[in-house]
Amino acid sequence: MTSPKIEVDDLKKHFKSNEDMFTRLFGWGEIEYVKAVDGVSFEIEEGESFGLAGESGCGKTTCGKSLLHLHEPTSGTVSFDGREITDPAVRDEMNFRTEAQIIQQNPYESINPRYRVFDWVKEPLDVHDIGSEEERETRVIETIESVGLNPAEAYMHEYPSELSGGERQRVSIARAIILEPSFILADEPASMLDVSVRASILDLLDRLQDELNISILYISHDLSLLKHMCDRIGIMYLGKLVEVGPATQVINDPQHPYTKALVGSTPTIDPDDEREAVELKGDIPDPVNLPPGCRFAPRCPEATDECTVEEPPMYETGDDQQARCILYDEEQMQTIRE
Amino acid sequence: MLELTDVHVEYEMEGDGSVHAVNGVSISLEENKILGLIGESGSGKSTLAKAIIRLLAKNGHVPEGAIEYKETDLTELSDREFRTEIRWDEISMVPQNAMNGFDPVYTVGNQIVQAIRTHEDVSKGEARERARALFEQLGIDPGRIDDYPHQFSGGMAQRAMIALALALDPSLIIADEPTTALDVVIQDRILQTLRDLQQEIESSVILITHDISVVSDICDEIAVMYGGRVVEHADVETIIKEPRHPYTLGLRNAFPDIEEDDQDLISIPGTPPDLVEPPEGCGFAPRCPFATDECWDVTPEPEEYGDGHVVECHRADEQELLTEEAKRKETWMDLETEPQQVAEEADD
Repeated sequence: MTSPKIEVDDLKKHFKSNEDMFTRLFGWGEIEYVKAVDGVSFEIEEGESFGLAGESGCGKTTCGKSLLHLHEPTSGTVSFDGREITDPAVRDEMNFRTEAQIIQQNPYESINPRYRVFDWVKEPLDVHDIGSEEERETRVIETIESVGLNPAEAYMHEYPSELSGGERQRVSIARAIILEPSFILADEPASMLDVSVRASILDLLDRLQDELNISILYISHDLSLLKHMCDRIGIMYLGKLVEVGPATQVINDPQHPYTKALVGSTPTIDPDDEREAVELKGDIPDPVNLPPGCRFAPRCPEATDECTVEEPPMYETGDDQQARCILYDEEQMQTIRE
Repeated sequence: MLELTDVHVEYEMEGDGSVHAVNGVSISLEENKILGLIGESGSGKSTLAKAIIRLLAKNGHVPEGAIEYKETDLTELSDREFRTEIRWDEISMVPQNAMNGFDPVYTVGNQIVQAIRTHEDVSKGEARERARALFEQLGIDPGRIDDYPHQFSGGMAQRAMIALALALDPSLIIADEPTTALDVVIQDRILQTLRDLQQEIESSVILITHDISVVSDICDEIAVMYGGRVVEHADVETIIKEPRHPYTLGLRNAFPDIEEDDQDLISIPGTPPDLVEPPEGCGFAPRCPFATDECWDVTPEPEEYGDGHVVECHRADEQELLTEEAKRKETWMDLETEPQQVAEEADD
């Protein structure tokens, strides 16, 4: 049996939230922590695309960055090809920094404006010292063309300021794939782009994934997009996954009340369509002082007293689909009914 | 109620001529309706809205066309008349980013009170009461009226902005991407509130967005803008289900729909047109898989196809063919290589 490409186990990332001078110098007061990611576990198989969804502030980006060790996780482990990568020495040995790449959200900020396209795409090869100068050049040109910037000569000498948003995002993708990675983190790869361009970028990612057999972790708040792009998705709420399963299944038949609310709030194109709107109370609570029990309970339309007692575990709700909600705890429900 | 006739908006640029951001828009809006204005960035939708409420940037002006509002031509009013009689009294606006819409050094309530008292002769207490009532209506705790804008979350600030826009019971509210920066749950709540209040106070709304699903959700009519023109305008049902303009068909293809299981997204190749020197012919022709020689040479005039469905396209009468062809990915893919050639094939 082969191990999954990425295996995340109980990953946590807490940030200090009130560390002022006095606390630091004299140890006054108690340090509070923002629990941005608070115990997330999932797996991504080879060649699979996994989507992380949730509202802003739910920790999905922090989760992605901790997974790549761009943030040092507070606790928990990440395994890559079956090997734990917490130790930097292991990361070096596995060439983790060439194997795992990232595509950022905003192509207007993620590309250094003083680099020409050619140099920007070539830099990873220089950093990792791959191939001779000539080989690098050929490879850069091939990569630029493979992301749909044809002919490469027309683009490689341009500065990013001369490119449109879609073209810039293609350049970012070229830089991400030039090292032939086996895993890419795509953080809202299309949210800054216009509708008509967005589809072509998503198409490109889809094609590259097939051709190069890359595992991709998509992070987005857009459920329609994730449903379209991903094999499986996980819904995050306040630092924890509340539902995981095959993308189509989770969207078409959501189990967790939060997923139901998200899906119900997403507008559909068909004007006749009457959506089942789920009314959520209030706003997202403060991630410093989390409510006891289920973190969604204060806003949940189906919450009972039991919900505030203990944090529910993940329950199997169907084909490969899990939800973190006591509605799916048979024993509990039995006692409640009685 | 609002009638635009051949409206043009230009932005003067230093030494480089001018940008024709809006290029002859004629459209009318009845009372008590929500009109959705959709299109890509740079299609002129925000510019058009700003021209209506006269909030264009300094270098922007309306050289041609009439903006008739309740039988007054707004373009003929002086700035002073516009400010005292129209803006906010009759037409108000919800900007895209509510956080930037409020002045950070005044409390939110104070700003609403100021807006009310600038236009109406009421006491401070009365104005404050009205502001509190508005907060209540929009689902914000009236106790937070004395908060500063930075104390509000994004969704609350956006609702407060709507409260400000509604403060003087305007007959027309222009909402420019009011929910773009927000999460779906809050977006949904705000759109519902907007719709409910619009029906309650019987005003009209122009909702600007690039999100087709948002417009189809709450609008009565949709106008699709491209290259500074309204290329298609009809009621929601028609635009979503029986569009005639290839651009509308393309937009529909490019948009992921949460309802569909195995959707093949198709992008529209090419880039939006040059608005500095718009070429002759249909602005969409270079990106249109159905463009013929006529399209490249002659700018199409708006034509009506049944009940208020206005389309600017030479081939709009071939609806069935266009709809069928537009569904195929190859139709749009071919264009990336040889636009002219496809046009010729389509001619045969």
